[in-house]
Amino acid sequence: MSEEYKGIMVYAEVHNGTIHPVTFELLGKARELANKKGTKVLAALAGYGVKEKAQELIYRGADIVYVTDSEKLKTLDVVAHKSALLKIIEKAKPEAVLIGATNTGRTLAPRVSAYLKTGLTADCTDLFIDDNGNLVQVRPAFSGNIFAHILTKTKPVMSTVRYRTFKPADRDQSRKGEVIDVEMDEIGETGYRVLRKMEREKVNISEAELIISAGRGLKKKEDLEMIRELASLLGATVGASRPLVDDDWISRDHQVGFSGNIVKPKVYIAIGISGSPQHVVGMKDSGTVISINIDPSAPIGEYSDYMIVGDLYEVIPKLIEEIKKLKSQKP
Amino acid sequence: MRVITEQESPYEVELKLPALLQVTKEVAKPRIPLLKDKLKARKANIEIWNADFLSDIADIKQFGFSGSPTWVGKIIVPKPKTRSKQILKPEEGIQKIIEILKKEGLL
Repeated sequence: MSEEYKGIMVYAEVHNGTIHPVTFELLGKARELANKKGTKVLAALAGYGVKEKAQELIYRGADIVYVTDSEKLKTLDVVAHKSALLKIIEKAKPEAVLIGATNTGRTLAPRVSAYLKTGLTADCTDLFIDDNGNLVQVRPAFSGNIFAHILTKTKPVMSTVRYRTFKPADRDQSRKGEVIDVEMDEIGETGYRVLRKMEREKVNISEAELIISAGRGLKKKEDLEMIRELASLLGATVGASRPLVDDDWISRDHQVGFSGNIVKPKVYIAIGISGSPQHVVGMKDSGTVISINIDPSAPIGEYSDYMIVGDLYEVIPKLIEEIKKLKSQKP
Repeated sequence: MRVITEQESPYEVELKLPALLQVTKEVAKPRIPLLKDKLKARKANIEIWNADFLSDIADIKQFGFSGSPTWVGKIIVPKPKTRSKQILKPEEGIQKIIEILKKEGLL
């Protein structure tokens, strides 16, 4: 029965005509997996007015793009989108389906896996084919203190992967591939009706090159102003560890860590952050890590290139002053 | 029922009931129990349903490990990426930050 399931499929997440970059990262990994298995990279592209995006997926490594372009998918009715993806999977019979662990992926993947009665492993940090040809899904457990290698008995194997986990696939405009149209089933009333899209100030911490991040070392919410001032002077993005977000000091968009955002900036400055494993999982691949902590034995030291031992309430104002001085000297 | 759900932006969505909702911490703040609530809780009779109790309406072989389509093959304790781990005093630290920011073209 499982010989029927072939190919590694990537769900292409599209919003407002833009393919979410996690798709390109998954295509890169899918190519690696497909090469090992001697099969193809497939893409599932479902939406309204998305057909023209198929070429881009081919340039990024998809051998076949299954496209459902339907007005029923005009709004983000996740039940309708589930139905479309199910139809594509039914047609393509992939061995594995990879979906970005974005907000959209997190609501879509479980609906699909539950319907298919197949296993879903969320937030995988790595995927590989073992010596028996099985897809092994690696993910952290116990707040990142251990990594579990998970296997799935059923087909297709479904996994979600956070943005910025894998490297994006190279873009090759000479690549050729196949586009297959898939017609959606009649679905009727889904019971899920999108009323309106709300505006929200966009904080894109995942892509930030410089992050100034604060943790429990801050004594009160108002002290974040100092961090914001420093970030503003440097054109940096403000980050925060989980306790600050849980206490409503700052929104989850700024959270760095396993249940927040994974970041890979050129420079990560951790201020008053102890360095719990679940925070470290979110920033460990940063270029240069500088931490400021009053406690020289804080775990963040293990993950820092430079650890400044001192009181942040003295160091940060001095740093701000130095930077202001430097900036005023420039012509 | 109307809910606000997060996709690439927040959306207001209307759901036909029954519905299963998955919520984040932002949805509400827990109430503080009053003394009378605590007393009521102490006297409460809690009905317990175990797998056998549900066996007439569900296949209990689908519960727990035997019903799981995934299993853990191996557990690994991660090794941290080796970092320089240089300890600096505040004055040299501030200079080091500035030096690195300049080097990376961020200042």
